[in-house]
Amino acid sequence: MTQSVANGTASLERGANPTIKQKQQAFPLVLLAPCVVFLLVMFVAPLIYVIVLSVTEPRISAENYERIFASPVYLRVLWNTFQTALTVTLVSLTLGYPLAYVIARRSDWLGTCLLAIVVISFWTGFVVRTYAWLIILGNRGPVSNIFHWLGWEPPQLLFTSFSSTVGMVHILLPFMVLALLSVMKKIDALHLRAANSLGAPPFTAFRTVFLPLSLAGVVNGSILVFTFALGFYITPILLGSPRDLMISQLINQQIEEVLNWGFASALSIVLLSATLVTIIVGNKLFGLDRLWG
Amino acid sequence: MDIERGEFVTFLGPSGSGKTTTLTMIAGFEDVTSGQILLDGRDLSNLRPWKRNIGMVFQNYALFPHLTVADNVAFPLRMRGWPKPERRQRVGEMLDLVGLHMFAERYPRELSGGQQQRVALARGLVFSPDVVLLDEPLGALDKNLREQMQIEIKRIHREVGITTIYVTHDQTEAMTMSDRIAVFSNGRVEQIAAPLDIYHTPATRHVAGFVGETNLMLGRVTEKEGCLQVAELGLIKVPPHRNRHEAVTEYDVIVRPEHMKVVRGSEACDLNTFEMTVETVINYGDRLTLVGSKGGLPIRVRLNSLDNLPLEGEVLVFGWCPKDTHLIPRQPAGDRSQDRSPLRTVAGALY
Repeated sequence: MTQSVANGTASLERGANPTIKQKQQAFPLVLLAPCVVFLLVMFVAPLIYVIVLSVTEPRISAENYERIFASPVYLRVLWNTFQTALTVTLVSLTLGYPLAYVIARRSDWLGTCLLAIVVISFWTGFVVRTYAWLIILGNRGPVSNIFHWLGWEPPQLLFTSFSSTVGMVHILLPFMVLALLSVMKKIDALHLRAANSLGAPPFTAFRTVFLPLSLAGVVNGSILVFTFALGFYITPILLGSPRDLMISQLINQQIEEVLNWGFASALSIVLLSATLVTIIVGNKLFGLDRLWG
Repeated sequence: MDIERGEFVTFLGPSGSGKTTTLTMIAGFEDVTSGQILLDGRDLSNLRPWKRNIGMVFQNYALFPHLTVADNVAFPLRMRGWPKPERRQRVGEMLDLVGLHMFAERYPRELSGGQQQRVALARGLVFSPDVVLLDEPLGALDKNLREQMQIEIKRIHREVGITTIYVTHDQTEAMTMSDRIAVFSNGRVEQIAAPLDIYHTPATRHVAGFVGETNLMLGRVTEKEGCLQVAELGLIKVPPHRNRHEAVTEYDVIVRPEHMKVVRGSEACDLNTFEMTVETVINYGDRLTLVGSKGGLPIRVRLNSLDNLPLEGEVLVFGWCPKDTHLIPRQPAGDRSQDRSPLRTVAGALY
């Protein structure tokens, strides 16, 4: 916004003075500077520091990494993290796809209402939403009340990987829906009409035309949700089981309880690498948005 | 409205006249509000679009972006369960027909607008539909390409012989391509006839105004046989009108600009003449249009000869042969019912 306004003024003055052209070329860089400085100081520098810590603490060696990949305990945490992230992604996709489909294809009240629900949920703080699940799934919450009412003993809902997954799906579903929606909205309804006129009944038209065209959104949304879920901290710590640690919880434990900064740094780098690999592989395999986005 | 097998019929009309709506009804995407659509005598209204066996070509082509040209063309065959080898052969034939066989493995976005249009055409024809519907298929193309595609579509129609309904608001397109033209206006078919009949004997003022340039006047019946009184021009001679009604006292008088000529000296034919100041000369290179007005009535004259080039501001005598006058009876006030021909509503369009 600021940049475009500034560019506008600059172009108005173009030609009035030869030095203005030079100023104009330098101008975007000047505008970028605060952001670049901020990222360097707050992001790049700490990241380098973390990388350095991971191989220098307590001494210069790769022992922190060796420890991660040698111990079944830590490998289980990694495996659990991936498994949870994958489950959350698949559940979000299963729930989000039909939702996004209805919102994209219906411009009437139904589509608007559903979109409003998604967006409001998106705007509500995720700590608040996580606490809401504490109440819903709690010992005297509505879910266990229903079990009591039916005369059954309620199962342990809270502090399990189930509750943790539910909470994460709830928080990440809007990301999935919005990612799907951005692609689905661009699919011309005329394509489906064309498919119909060429002999495809509605479901076949959906399967042969809409679904392939929405794949870009599926991939984008899945990568988004998966990478978010990989690093999730608050929700698993509040709702999850202490036995099913996720990697971010382990990192926190290492810093706060064990004060092992080197090992925590190594874990962070592993998490970061896993996230990067997911994004790169996802983009390589299904860089669909560039194909027909 | 009846359309013969193999005929090329154009729905011509301004936007909002109902031509596309009619087409959508034939395709089955819109419910018919009244009337029936029959195909080979069977009512289409309860058939869903995918059961109708009607090919449709959309204005923006609606090619499937995730499929190659060959797969796009094969789509209707796949839906009909053709086995793969036959599918491939048929797609090859269709791509040959539209001259795109070397582009089979390309994606639609790698093709030009005209090529995409031809793919859409091939896809709409490949399954030998009973009818093919073309909805302003050339609307998105530039002028030269449009003319090329007109010839192309006409050639394909000749070779394939599928009944074609073509929707356009471009009268030149309608004129050059159609066996018959149905002129739409305000949700009604005003006239359906061969292109030249539409041009020379328009059924209504609307048709006359929409198809080609026209000089439109109002003529009143007078005592004098074979003459009408036009307020701006005085008494004019008209040809004997075939279906003259006693009740009709007013006619829309239509003279095409190319029938008007500059009168210099004596002419063989017994002309209707008038004097007019040339206000504007529009030079098209191969012909001229003179624009002027007589008593507030705008008049356009087309000259095909560029000799004796008239100047703006020049006062000349113009005239036209009575036989070149086309008359449309005006319905007397209160008798509007006759205005509603059997082709009255869009929905009543019969196939």
